[in-house]
Amino acid sequence: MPRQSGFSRRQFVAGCCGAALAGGSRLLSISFAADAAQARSRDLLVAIFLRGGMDGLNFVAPVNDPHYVAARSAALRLSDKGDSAALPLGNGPAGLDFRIHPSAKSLKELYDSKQLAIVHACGLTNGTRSHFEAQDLMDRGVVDLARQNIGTGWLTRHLQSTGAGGLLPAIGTSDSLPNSLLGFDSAAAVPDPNAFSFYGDESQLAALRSLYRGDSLAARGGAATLEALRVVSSHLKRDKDGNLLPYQPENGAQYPGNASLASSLQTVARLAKMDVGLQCAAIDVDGWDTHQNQSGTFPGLIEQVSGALAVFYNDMSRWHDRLSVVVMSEFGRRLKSNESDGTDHGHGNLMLCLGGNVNGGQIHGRWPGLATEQLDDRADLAVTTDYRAVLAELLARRVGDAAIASVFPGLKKYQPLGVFRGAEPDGLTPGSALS
Amino acid sequence: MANVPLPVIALNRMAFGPRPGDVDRVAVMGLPAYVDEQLHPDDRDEPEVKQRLAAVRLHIEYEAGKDDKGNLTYKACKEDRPLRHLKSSAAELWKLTDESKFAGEERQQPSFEVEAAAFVRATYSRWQLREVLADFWHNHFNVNAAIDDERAALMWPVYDRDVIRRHSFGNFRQFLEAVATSVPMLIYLNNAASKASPANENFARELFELHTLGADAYFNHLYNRWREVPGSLDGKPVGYIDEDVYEAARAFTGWTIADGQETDRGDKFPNTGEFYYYDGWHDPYQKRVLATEFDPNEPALADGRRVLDLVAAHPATAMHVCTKLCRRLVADNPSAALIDRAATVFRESKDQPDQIARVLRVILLSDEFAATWGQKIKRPFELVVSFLRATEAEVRPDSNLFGIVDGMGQHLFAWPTPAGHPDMAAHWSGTNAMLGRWNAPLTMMADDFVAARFRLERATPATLRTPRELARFWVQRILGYDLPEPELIILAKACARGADLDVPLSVGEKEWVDRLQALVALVAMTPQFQMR
Repeated sequence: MPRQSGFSRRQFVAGCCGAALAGGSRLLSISFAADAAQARSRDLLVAIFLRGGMDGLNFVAPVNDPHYVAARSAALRLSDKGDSAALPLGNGPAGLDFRIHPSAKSLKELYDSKQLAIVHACGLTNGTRSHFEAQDLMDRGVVDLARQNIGTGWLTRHLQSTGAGGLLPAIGTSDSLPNSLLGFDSAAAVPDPNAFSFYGDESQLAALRSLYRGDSLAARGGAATLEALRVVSSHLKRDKDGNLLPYQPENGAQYPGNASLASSLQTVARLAKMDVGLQCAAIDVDGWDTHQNQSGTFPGLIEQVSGALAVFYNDMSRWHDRLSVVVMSEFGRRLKSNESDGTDHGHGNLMLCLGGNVNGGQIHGRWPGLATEQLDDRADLAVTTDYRAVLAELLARRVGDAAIASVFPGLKKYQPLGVFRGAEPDGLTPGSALS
Repeated sequence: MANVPLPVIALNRMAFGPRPGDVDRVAVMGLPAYVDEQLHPDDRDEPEVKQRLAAVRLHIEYEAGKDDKGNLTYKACKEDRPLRHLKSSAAELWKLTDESKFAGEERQQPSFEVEAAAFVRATYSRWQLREVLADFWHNHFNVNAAIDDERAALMWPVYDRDVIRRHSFGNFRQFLEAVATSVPMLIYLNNAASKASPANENFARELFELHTLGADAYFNHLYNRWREVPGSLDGKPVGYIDEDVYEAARAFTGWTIADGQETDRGDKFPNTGEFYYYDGWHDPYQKRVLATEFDPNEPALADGRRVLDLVAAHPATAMHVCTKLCRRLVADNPSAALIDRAATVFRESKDQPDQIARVLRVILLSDEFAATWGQKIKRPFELVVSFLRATEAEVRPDSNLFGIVDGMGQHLFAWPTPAGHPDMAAHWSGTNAMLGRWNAPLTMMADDFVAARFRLERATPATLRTPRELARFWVQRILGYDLPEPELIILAKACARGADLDVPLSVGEKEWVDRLQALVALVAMTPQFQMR
């Protein structure tokens, strides 16, 4: 008997990315010019969270740094030699030979075509090495929950500050919403638009509309569900008999059927093109807590991210000028590997930024070095860029959000790194104090 | 709140909702007697549960196995099979690890059998508190049985029976050691592969953060400055730091599984599937955990056991575990006073064999337990089982029944991260979860859903014929209390389908059943039925 939900329980199955890579190979032929007719003032923001602590030092790293070579078993570090040599990225900081994992071929293409930027040595300035604490802090956009007792997510406050309207302003693609959308009542969890339907009849639906009123949590959840149902079902394309038509990606993009990130991104693309006012999508990807057997699982994880992002970007070609994707994780992993072919919880990590208005083909941020005295607590990659600086720049330059101080309470200054192109909204200038 | 009787409150929080007759029974015996009864369950399954378990058939299907030369190693299989592993010993189960004789499906089947048994027992067992606590502890000591290493799923009957259920009402320190030495946990949090040095810190970190002291007692900013943790210099630090995690990880090196492997230095482990201590991987030197110095070269297992002693007795552990118990049994945000009282009993009875039962008694007989209603949203498993109980459905679990709960986002024995399923309402009231909640009763009452059979027409007294009477009856049966008239009318209309609410329905047999199902499904979809 197969596990009923096996697809969601094992989100990554190695070797299913052939289609993804095929889709990605068309990237260079795409025109990146803005489609003026469809230009809008705000980017669609896609925030992808790699849950479990992605090992950024196994993803993008300076392969010729002797400290790096000495600290890790060969299976857990990138190399410039052999059949599985990592792919060179130009423009690395500190004159080092920064490379990207050999399974990230599509990301390397996106980097070379200047659509993808990497910010390295960034993250949470709180030193917690607890998954759950670090994720919660990042989802809420704060550094210290005790000091900044915040009951909403950073995306929630952003959407509130920009006055999110539209039928379906924000979605999550997992069973439940991540805390980045905590407290945003009109956010909807929509893992699969095709399956997002009510099995009862019209009279039951009408009864539910009468029953789910008021201010209790259940009532609010029910009301939001009824609204999301109405929006999604009325915008899905159907044939003349009312049957749902399958989603048709553009530009020859083919989403692999059994990969969670790819299907999440397909949901985002589909809803974005429905014209229901989608502004933010939050996507979770599990499986990054690689304490053991990392050399076995990590290449597949990277290939999935790389392939899925490439297919999505291809499908969304018409949108490149108004699309910003960020990828982050709660922390990186320790420089030194352990004795069970794994790495333990670390600190600094990388973020990926993808979009038509990204200053791509560069590694942003100050590289702190990997010598023992340069490490955080003499063990982990230091954080030289607060992850919120990257998100603040994205919100300001690409979405016109001036209320950075309320989205990221406790962030002292607005200090863009130059990852995104665009002008700040009124009232916000680089270097200005926030709180 | 005012109209929800105490037995209904109790049966929704220390049981998976009332079955017909339960409310009256608890009302007659009184809550204290019911709590005492539930704290002393019979370890054996009752005859009805046994009979229901014996009736379960789980599908299993795989192709024939062949070795490199194409010779048959095991035969193909396609059958609906009775449960056979619930009572198996570790050694019996471990035989299935032989990949040259058994398909991977055979190693996964034991966890599905336990999943089926969980549905049967939660639906039919009179020892409801035991089932609630089994669910609680499975989440507190969460292991994902669906990881790639099939040995976790294989050994699930032992984990469920001899670790979780055996200690559910028992002593927390003993519980901790049973968990730490269990094959599924050793695999899931990687301690089985942890060697000096550097050790694998996964288990040690979650031991502190999730199983014992809790994240509130994590002083991450102090990192390795242990003297600065308040209380440290008296040997009683109020919390833990990363250095404690690293040191504890060293203490547990060598705690592994007798899985027959041969080590780098040429030692061969026994191959029995039991806990195994291997000194060749242990880091023998001095350690300092929670401001307590460990001497170098302690005897086998002593370092790890000392860590367990320290964390089990730590006041923060009492707070953390009691907060979670109160959250499960009372409200998302239980009062500090209640948590405090429970934690005091937890600490004072730390050496008692029934430590956990004593704590439960305080929580269940507190004023707050009786005075709180609707501050929890049922998790999907609770929602489904409470529906099956209220309607007296005939339940024979299969993968479709598992799928109902999975589809709402609760993955029994397969939650991916070690924190277990969230126990706060916000997680379970989003759009996708809510839609699943509404669709679940409709799916389960569909003709092709064989895991649950409903006889609503038999359960409905023959004297009740009008939509209003029927709605009133089924609201009382499913919720255990009355709804205000405006809501009752909305439900009655689902049954009336345009007819007068106070005129007896005059419809054929099939239509009658159809109307009852529409009504019962809608009662199960009300906001009130989502809460407990």
